[in-house]
Amino acid sequence: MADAKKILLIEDEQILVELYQMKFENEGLNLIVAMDGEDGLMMAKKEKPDLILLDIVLPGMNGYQVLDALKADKETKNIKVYILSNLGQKEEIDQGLEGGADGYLIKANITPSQLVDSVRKVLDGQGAGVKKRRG
Amino acid sequence: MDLINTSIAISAGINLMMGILVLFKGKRKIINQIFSLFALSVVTWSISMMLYRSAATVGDSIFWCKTLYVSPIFIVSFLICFAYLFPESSDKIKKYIYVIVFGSGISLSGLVLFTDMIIKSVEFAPGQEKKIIFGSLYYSIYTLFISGYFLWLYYILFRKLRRSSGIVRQQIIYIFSGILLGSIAGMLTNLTLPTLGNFSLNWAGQISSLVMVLLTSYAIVRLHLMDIRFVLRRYSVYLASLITILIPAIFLKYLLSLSFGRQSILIDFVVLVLSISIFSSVKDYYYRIANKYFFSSLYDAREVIADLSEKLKATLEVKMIYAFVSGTLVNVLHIKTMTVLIWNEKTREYEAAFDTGHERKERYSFTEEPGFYTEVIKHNRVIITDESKEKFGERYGRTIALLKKYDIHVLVPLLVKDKTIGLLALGPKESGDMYNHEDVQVLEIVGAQTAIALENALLYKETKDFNVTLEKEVKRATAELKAANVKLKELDAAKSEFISIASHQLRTPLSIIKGYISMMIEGNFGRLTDKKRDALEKVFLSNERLIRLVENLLNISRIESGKLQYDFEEMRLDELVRDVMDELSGTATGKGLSIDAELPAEALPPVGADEEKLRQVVMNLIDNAIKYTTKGRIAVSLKRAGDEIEFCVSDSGMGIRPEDLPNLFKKFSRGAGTSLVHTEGTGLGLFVAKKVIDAHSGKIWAESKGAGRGAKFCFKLPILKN
Repeated sequence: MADAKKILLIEDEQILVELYQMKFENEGLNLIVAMDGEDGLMMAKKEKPDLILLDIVLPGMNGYQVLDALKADKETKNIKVYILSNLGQKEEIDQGLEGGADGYLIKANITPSQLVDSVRKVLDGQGAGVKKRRG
Repeated sequence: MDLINTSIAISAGINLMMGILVLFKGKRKIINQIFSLFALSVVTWSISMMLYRSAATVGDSIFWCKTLYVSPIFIVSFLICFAYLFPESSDKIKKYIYVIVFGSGISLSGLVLFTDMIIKSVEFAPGQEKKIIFGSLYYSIYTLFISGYFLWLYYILFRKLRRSSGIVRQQIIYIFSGILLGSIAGMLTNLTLPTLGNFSLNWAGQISSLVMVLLTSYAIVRLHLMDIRFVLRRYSVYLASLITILIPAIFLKYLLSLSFGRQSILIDFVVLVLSISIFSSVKDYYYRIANKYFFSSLYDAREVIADLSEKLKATLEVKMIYAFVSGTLVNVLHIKTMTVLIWNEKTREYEAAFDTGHERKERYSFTEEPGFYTEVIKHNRVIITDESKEKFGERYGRTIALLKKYDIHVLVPLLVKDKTIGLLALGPKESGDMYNHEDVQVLEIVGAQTAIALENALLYKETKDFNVTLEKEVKRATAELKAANVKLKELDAAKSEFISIASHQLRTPLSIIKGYISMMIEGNFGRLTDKKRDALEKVFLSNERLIRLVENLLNISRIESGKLQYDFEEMRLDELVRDVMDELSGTATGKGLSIDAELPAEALPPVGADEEKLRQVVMNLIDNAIKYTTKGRIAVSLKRAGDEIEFCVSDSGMGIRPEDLPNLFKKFSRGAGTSLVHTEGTGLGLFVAKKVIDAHSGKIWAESKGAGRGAKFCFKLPILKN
């Protein structure tokens, strides 16, 4: 754990979770995982992560609802949220950004290494460039 | 023959003519026959007077004197029968009345003719009318009989007058006044004065009988009687005007003859011209005064029409028109009942649309009696029931009976062009007076006004109703369209959702493959041999192409539904091209192709573009060049051309046949033969590229010298203006 910063991944696809966990661990990043929205909200409150990577298609609450809930809660509203989804149409991206997300990443368009690069930039406070762009 | 006898002869002649005229007007009618007998009695009376007056001996005088006193018995007897029968023979006289009237009449006649109890003798008085010496029963029986029978006659007429209305009433008024004038004059001169010993006006009764006969026959023969008030008004005005002119004229003539003496013809002429020229204005003046002060109960026709006209102008409501018209007519003419009947084309009946005055609110209607409407209604502007009864009663009994049943005295057809759209049915007047000439004139005009107003209102109503129907239709159609639209929107939303989910489902495994392969290539799973790395890179690139294919499919579906949205931003094409080159150079070199970029040294001006979409276009074009080239080189260039930035990618590949060039940018179109070489190509890339470039107001095209001779794909985008 070279880096004290905490990243919360809300993602239901088991294999992807394993992939990202492996990559983030290799890179020395602290990644915690929630498999659905409700769980994710709970963990966000409890763990106070520095960044949340949020999928949209989730069982139960979808990503947009989770985003709304995060932004509505005083405790979590200042946590940076990046949407990490395979939905990539303009309306979908716009809905996410209007809901308060700081950036939007499309899974199919970035490799795990590119994702890590983006995350590092965000954690270093240079996240603006990632907004709406692929990694 | 003296002047008096001449006058008597003339009046007797006229009376005789009247008797004959009335008889010819209705030979078979008992009432006409009785009238003729009455006239004959009057003639006999007159002739007796003439002969009595001219008789030279006492014997002759006594004989004619007796016939002179028998005639009035028959005059009054026939008049009583006439009064009972009038206006129609349908009023049967009870037989005992005949017996009483003629029984007593004949008995009295016998007394007059064959005894000297009534007429005793005649006394000649030189230079004067003869004197009649009456018998003992004259004063009691004869005078009582005559005056009594006349009183009976008045009573009958008075009763009839009270019960009658309309034209019959007017007729009775004429008859009654004629009889009253004639009989009073006759009784005064021939009964009262002789009784008092005065025989000087003996002859006047015969002449005054003319009034009685003339008025009575006029009442029988003429149907369209004048209102006596109008006659009175007209003649009093004429008389007053005449007197007003005549007195100054005579005075003037007198004055002029004093100063000019003999030239009287010239003076007469001057006075005549003067009198005639001012007569008309004097008459008008008297008319105005008469109308103002003496006949104020009579309405002013012009004012009534103008007033109604104003009211009718102000409305297009059918019911208001009914109310205005009947209100006006009822007020002005004092009508008891009034109905507006409107023609119903479906039932072919005139139906009561508005009614006032009828106590029982039964709705009545007229079915069309063949002929009546075409013959009578169409040719008359105002139909007086009594007249029609006389003229058409036999032919159109059913209609006449209906008119009688509903107590309709006047029908005013509402004619529009050739169509009778309705009828105004007027009941009797409150006073029972008949509809006079002026009423008829007013009704003609009111009928025409009403017809036009109603026609307009009915047309307006029709249009309004049609508009309402139309509105309903439009509403219904709109509702249907709305429902259809909602359904389409639902379908569209379903389709979008499906594509979204499908692309998501496809991308998830693709991103997992991408993730693992990239990590393997990066050495996260341990060092790889060059061979393994090479194999994994090929897997990675193929996976990348699949990801692009999904993206293109998604875009096409969006383009088709018109839902592909663009997010135009200021951007630099050179950066984008460099990025794509970096990404794809591996693929090219993997195939043993050289790939060169010819980019300007200085930064190019920015364009307004959707970066993501434009990246796909550049990616598609370079990827195609790599795909369709087996050996040689690929050259990418970017330059400024005037106000535009031009991007081109050329290759030394399989080229394009000229006939394929026009179809390249169409959906699912590929150059012939390409499918055999490159199965993964779908042709979707060029289609999407054209759509995107079009949306950026740019131009995309392809060049090739032919099959096997390489190809060049280019697009141009306008430089962003400040």
